[in-house]
Amino acid sequence: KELEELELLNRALEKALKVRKSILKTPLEVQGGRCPGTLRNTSGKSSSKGVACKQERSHRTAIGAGDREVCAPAEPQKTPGLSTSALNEQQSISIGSSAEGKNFLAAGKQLFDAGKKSCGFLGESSKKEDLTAEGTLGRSTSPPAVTLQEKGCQLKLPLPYRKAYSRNSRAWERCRLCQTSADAAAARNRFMERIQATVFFLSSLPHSPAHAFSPSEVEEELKVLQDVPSLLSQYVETEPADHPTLQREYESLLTLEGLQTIISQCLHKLQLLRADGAGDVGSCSPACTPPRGQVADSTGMLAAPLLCYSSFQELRDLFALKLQVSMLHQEVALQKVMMAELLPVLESRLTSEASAAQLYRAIYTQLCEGGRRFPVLVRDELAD
Amino acid sequence: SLDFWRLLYALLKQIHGGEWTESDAIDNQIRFVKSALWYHGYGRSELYRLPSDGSVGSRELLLAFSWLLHRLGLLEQLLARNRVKTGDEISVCTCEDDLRNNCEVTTEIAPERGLEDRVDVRYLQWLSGRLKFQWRSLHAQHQEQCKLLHKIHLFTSGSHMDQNLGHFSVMETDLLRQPESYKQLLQLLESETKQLEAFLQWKQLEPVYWQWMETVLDNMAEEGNMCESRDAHVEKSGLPKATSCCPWADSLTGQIDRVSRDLVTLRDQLHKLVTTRKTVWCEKVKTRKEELQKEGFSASARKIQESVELKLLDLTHLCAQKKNKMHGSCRLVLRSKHPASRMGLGRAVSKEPVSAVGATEVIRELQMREASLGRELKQLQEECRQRLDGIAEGLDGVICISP
Repeated sequence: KELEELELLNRALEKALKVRKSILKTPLEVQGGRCPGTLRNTSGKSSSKGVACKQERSHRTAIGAGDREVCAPAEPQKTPGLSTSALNEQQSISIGSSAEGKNFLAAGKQLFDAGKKSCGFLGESSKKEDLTAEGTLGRSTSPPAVTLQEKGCQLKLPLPYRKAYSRNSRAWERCRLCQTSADAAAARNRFMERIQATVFFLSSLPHSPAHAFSPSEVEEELKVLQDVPSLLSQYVETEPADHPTLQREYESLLTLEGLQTIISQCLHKLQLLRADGAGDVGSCSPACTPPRGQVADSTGMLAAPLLCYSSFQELRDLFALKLQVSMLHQEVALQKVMMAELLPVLESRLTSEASAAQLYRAIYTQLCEGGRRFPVLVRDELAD
Repeated sequence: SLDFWRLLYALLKQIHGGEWTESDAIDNQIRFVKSALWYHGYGRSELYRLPSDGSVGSRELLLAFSWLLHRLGLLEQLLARNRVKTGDEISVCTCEDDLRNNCEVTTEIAPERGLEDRVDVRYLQWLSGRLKFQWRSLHAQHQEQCKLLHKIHLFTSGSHMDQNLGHFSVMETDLLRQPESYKQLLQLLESETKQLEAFLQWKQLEPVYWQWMETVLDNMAEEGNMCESRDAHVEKSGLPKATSCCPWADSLTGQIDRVSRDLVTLRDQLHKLVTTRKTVWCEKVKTRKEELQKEGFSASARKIQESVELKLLDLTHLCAQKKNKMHGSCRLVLRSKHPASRMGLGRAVSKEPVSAVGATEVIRELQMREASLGRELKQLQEECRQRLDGIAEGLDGVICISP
C-alpha cells in the first residue's frame, strides 16, 4: 500500500510540473490579442520591472515577516478561488518588499492587473535569472516552459489558507505556552498521590518497594539499552592498541575503565528491569498485550515536530537507513521463526534420503547466509 | 459505564496507534483497556476486577481516566497525534518495527506439519526472494520520493509565510495545483484550531476538575472504611501472577537476557584488555618514575582524568537516556546549515524553533540501531551454523563445505 501511495505521489508531482508547463505556454502565445485595455504597464516600465525584480531578489535578505504584510494589499485583487493555478503564480509575483517599497509595490499591482502581458514578460525575465540555487538540480526544459524550479520561491498560498494557517499556528503556540495553574497542579498531585496510596502491593513483604518501572517504562528503558552493546564496543574498538606517549596511554586506560563502569551500571539496571518485569500485576491478559505506546512527556508534546535536514544526501541517507532498520527487524524476526520451524525438521529426519542433502543445503543457505550464498556439498566417496 | 469503557477504549487505541472500530465486542474493548492500563502502570486492583460486560464501575473508570489524563498527558498526546498532516512526514523512531516484531514473536509457533509433504523448501526460497525484491523496490520508491520532496522544499524556499519552515510542504504545493482540495485542508486546519481552543478552555477549568476528583476520592474513602476489613483478605490474594503465561514478559525477559549477555561478554573482554594494559602501564611507570616526576606528570594526569570524565559523561547520558527522544512522525524541513544560504535568503541562525531535531542525530541513532540489529542477526546465524554443523555430521556420505 505504501508503494502505491508513493507511486501516486510521484506521478502526481511529475504531472504537476508538466501541467504547469503546458498551461503557461498558452497565455504566452495569445498575449498579443488578449486584454489590451487592461494593460497599464507599458513597455517603458518593463525594464524597471526587470530591474525591480533583480533588486527584489537581492533584497530578500532584508525581508522578514514584513513579507506577509506587504503582499496583503496586493492580494485582494486575486480571485477567491484559484482559477488557474499557473496564472495565479504569475500574478503573485508581486511579492517581496524591497528598499524601494512602494515603487515596487505599485509595479506589483500593475503586474496584477496587467494579466497576460505581464505573464509573458515575467516568464521571460525569470527564465533568464536563475531563481534557484546554482541550478545544480537540473534546469527546466525549453524556454517558454516555467516550472516549480523557477517559480517556486515566489509562490503564494491562497489567502484563506494563510489566514487559517496563521490562526492555527498561533493557537498551537498558545497551547504550548499555556501552563497548568498552581491550584490545578496542587490538586492534581494530591489526587495522584492518593490514588497511588490506595494501591495494594502483592508482595507479602511489608517493605516491598513500589515497582520502579511500569511495563511501558521497562520497555522504554530496554529500548535505550539494547543499542548500548554496539555503541560501547564501537568505543572499545576505537581505542588503539599502541600509544606514542604515556599520556595517551593513560588516557586510553582511563577511558577503558570508565567504559567498564558504564557497563556494570547498565547491567545493574537490566537486573532491576528483569525483577520488575517478572512479578507484575498479572492482569495482563495474555491474549492481547498492548503494543508499545509512547510514554508521554507532556511538556514538549505540543511543539511542532520538525526534523531538519540540510542536504539532499542527508535526506536520502535518512530514508535509506530507516528502511534498512525495518528490514533488519523483519529479518531477525523471520530468522527466529525459521530457526524454530526448520531446524527441527532437519534434526528429526536424519535418514539418508536423496533429497536430504538438498534440503540441508537449502535450509543452510536460508538460515546461515540469508539466502545469498550456498554451501557446497561434496559426496564423501572415499568412505570405507 | 458502558459508554465510559468505550470512551477509554477509543482514546487508548488512538494513543497506541491502533485502528479502532466501534464494532469491537465490548469484552474485547474492556480487555484492551485493562491491559493498556496495566501497561502504563495503573495500580488500582478494583479496576481490574470489574466485570467484562461493562455494567458497573463508572467511578473506578472515572478515577482511571483522571489518572491517565495526567500520567499520559492524554489531551496533549491526542492533539499531537492528530495534527494535520503535511505530506512530508517521516517517523523518527523505530517503534512501529518493534511493535510488529513483538506481535510476530509472540504468536504461537504452529504445530509441526510434515513440511516435506506440504511445503517445498523452494517455495520458501522463492518467497524470500520476492520479499527481498519488494524491499528493493520500496527503497527505490523512497529514493524517488526523497528526490521530489527535496525539490519541492528547495524550490519553494522562501515562499512560506512561516519563517521557521521556510518552504512549502507537499500538501501546500498540491494546493496550488489542485485548488479544489484546499477547501478540505482548510476545514481540517479550522477544526484543529477549534480543538486547540477547546484545550485552552479546559486548561482554565482544570483546577475545578481536580478538586472534584479529590471529592470523589473522599467519597470513596468514606465508603471504603466501612467495608475495608472485609476486603482486606481478598486484596492480598487478588491478582494472580501471570509470569508463566504472559508472552509479553517472556519476550521482554528474552530481550533483557540478550542485552545482558552482550554486555557481559563485552565486560569480560574489556576486563582482559584492561588488566593486560594496566600491568604494562605499571611497568612503564615504575621504570620511569623520576623522569615523570620531573615532567610534572601528576598535574597533567589530573587534567587527563577530567577530560576523560567529560568524554564519558556524554556516553553515560546516552546509555541512560530518558525520554527526550522524539517519537512518531515529524515533518521534514529543509534548513541550510550555513547562515547565508545559497539562495541569498539570509536567515537568522539564532531563530531556532523549539523542538527541531536534526537529521544527523537521527541518522546516528539509526546507525546504532542498524549495528545492533546486524549483530543480533549475525549471532542468530552463527547459532544456526553450529546447529547445522551438528546435523551435518549425521548425514551419511556428504561433506558440507561452507561458503
